[in-house]
Amino acid sequence: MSRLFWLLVAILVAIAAHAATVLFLPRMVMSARMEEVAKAASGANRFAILDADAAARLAGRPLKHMLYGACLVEPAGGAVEMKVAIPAGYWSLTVHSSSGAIIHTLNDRHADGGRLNIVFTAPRQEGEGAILAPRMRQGVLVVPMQGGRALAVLRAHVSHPGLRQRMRRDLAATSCRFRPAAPS
Amino acid sequence: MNGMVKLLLVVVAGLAAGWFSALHLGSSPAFSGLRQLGAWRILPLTGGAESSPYARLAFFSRGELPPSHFNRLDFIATTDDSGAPLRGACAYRLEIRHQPVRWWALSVYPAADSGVAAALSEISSMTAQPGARATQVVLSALAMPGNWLPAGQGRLELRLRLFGASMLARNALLKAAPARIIRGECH
Repeated sequence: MSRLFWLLVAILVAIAAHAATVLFLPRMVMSARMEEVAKAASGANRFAILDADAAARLAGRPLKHMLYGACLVEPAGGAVEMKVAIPAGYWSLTVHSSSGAIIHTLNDRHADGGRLNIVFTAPRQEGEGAILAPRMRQGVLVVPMQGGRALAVLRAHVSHPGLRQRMRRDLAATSCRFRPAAPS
Repeated sequence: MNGMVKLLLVVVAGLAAGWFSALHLGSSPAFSGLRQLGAWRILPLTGGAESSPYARLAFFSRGELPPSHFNRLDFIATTDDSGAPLRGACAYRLEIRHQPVRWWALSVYPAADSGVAAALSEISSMTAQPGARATQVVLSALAMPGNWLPAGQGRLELRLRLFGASMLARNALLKAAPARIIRGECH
């Protein structure tokens, strides 16, 4: 009887630990990555091109043929507008929620040349019952967020090492900016 | 045995079992969608409606952000085609099938279960011979003619990342090994 009791306790603790690992480990890693990006960009809602060390801390196993940029998106009380200076060649933009899930992703097949405008909206801005799916509105991609924070990671392929500095300069025109909600 | 000591032992055992079982399911095909294709393995269910929390956990537990399979497919190999671990002391010939993708990159890292790591070396499709059915790459510590991927010391991990595959191509890419890894001489 006593053995059965301790076995049950162990199983319950194991189930709790299992669920906590699945739920919270990604959140802890994401939280650390978000802080890293905020540090590199000197705050939230700012875009930064990451150096090799920061890219390794963000991506884990970064590619040498890639240039990494990121913005910690915090649209609370408004929205965050990201204007991506689209690089020549392959690029991708992936938006991770604070739980690590991928909210939205884009690559060079979706937008080409010039600038891509994205607006991340806070959940309550969408109104009750709104469909929380990204959509185009007047040439701007609107990405509704379900949580308070997200990490937008831009990756651009550097097809030749000699192009890295130029691409870095071009990508530096990318901006990420908080836009307060219009007074009602 | 004292009740408190017994409780402590049971809690520690339960915590360890819960932790390891969660990580273990990250390498279970049924839970994480892991696919083993020859020496290569891939976790394609990291994003989208079919995404698996265990697949994402497998990346996060190594300190990596999970890739969107929509943009990128990450194949990982830590053994050669015969199943022997990849070692810096050996030379390997890789035959990378021509892929219906925008570009690919092959990187070699020190094999480790976790932690960030810079690539020891890297080669990309920019170096592929146009018109060839496969790209030949040699992974070795000693310099080799052709597409040479310098290897480091100790156990190694290879990553083949395919970028910009269409949805149709993606399904086909998840059915066959993307490359052969044939061991040559060891010293």
